[in-house]
Amino acid sequence: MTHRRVEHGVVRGRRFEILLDGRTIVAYEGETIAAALTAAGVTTLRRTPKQGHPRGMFCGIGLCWECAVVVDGVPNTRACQTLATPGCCVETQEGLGRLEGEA
Amino acid sequence: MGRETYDVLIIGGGIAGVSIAYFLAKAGQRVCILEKHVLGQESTGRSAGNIGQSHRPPPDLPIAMRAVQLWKQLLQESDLDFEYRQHGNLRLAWTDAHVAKLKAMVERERAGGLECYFLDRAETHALLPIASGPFLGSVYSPSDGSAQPQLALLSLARAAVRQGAVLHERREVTGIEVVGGRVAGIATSGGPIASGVVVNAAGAWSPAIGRMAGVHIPAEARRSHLMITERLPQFMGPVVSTDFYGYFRQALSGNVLIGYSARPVEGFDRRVTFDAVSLATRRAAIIIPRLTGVSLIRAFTGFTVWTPDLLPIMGPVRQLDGLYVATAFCGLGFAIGPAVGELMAELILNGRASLPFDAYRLDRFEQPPGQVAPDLPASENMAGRVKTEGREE
Repeated sequence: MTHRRVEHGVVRGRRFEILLDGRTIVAYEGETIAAALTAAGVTTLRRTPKQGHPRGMFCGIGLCWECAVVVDGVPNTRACQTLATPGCCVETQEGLGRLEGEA
Repeated sequence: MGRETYDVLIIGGGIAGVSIAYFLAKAGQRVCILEKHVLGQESTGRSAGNIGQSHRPPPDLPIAMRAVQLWKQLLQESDLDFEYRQHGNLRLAWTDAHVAKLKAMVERERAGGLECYFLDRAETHALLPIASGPFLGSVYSPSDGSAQPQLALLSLARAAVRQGAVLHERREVTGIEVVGGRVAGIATSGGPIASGVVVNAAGAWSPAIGRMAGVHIPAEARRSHLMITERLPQFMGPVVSTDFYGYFRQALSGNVLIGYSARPVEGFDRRVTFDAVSLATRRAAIIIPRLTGVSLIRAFTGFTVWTPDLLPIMGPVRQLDGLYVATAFCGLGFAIGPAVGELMAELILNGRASLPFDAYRLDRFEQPPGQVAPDLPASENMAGRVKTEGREE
């Protein structure tokens, strides 16, 4: 599903796939995880710890931390500041981050 | 059309001003808060939200203890959960001399009615298993705690407005009007307002407000840094205070707040400096090594306001009838905010307050030097801390 991307006059890098909660999402080299997920129609990137409310990309420039996801097991990773890489494993963040030394 | 008139005008929309307004409005006074920007824009909104009672000059203790009673009451009455919790405070001790000093402080504060204990290293570990570093023990005061300062201010402001207080935001005071040797009102960016009583609760800007009335307020703004981590599962328990390593607490949201103590700055310099962030984070990691891999998501600064004897300035202004001041809380402003409101309201209404705060009077600075020297064992540290900054690295 790539119809949310501008098609004309844009030169894209290599096409590859990333994983979101186990499903396959198309991404292009140079895109952030947030860009790839937005293009795929995914707007909920995390849920708030207390009330479980959905949150997604808001500022898009790394300031607001609303787009925190788990990338390859690392929680509190900003989807808008992290480039998609082939096969990277993204999970919707359901909780908090973790301290060093914790499982 | 008559001129806008109130019983009391309060300059400053921080915790002190809003709290004074709340208690006066509750007592039936017609009050108005003037804030040059928006509520909580300055020190209150940038505060770490610690609500401590310990490790202060002796006159502060009964007032800080009263504030804790009021915080409990305000939370119960509030329509907004401002996250006030009594999760205790641990003040870590580093050297034998420091231990002796803190033990003496515990004796004094217990005599003053505060529940506090000196804990050895093992007992400290039991309360804060994640702690490391070369501390020898700690002072534990279980009734200390914290609140979310922006929410607490908002809650109190809403309560004040419900009681009839008027809030003028983005309204800057430009002058104080004096008629026949007493206050008659103020001039503001939005026109004049009449009142026979004016309270200067303008925090870091209170000396500037004082100058408008020809009153010298010997207070100095210092810059404090606060660093915020990503959200983490709850692991901290009590607030951790240290004399040389800053202070930290974990908010209910999971973010850890790392505070770096107040330092004098030129002017109102709000910059976040490398110096402060690197020192504060390295020190935090000495005490809680597992913070090392955690990300900081923001850092900001705010001003606390200090006097030469490290006591607040609160009470009437002798030179001008009708003018009062409540400022320079020397880092304790958020913690004691509700007590400041209650006591100032009592003073304004009855001429005396239920807890004495003569030690805070502005006219103490008029006495010749040498006669002032109050007994300030706890405050020597704080004064010393400013001078020794940078040496221990």
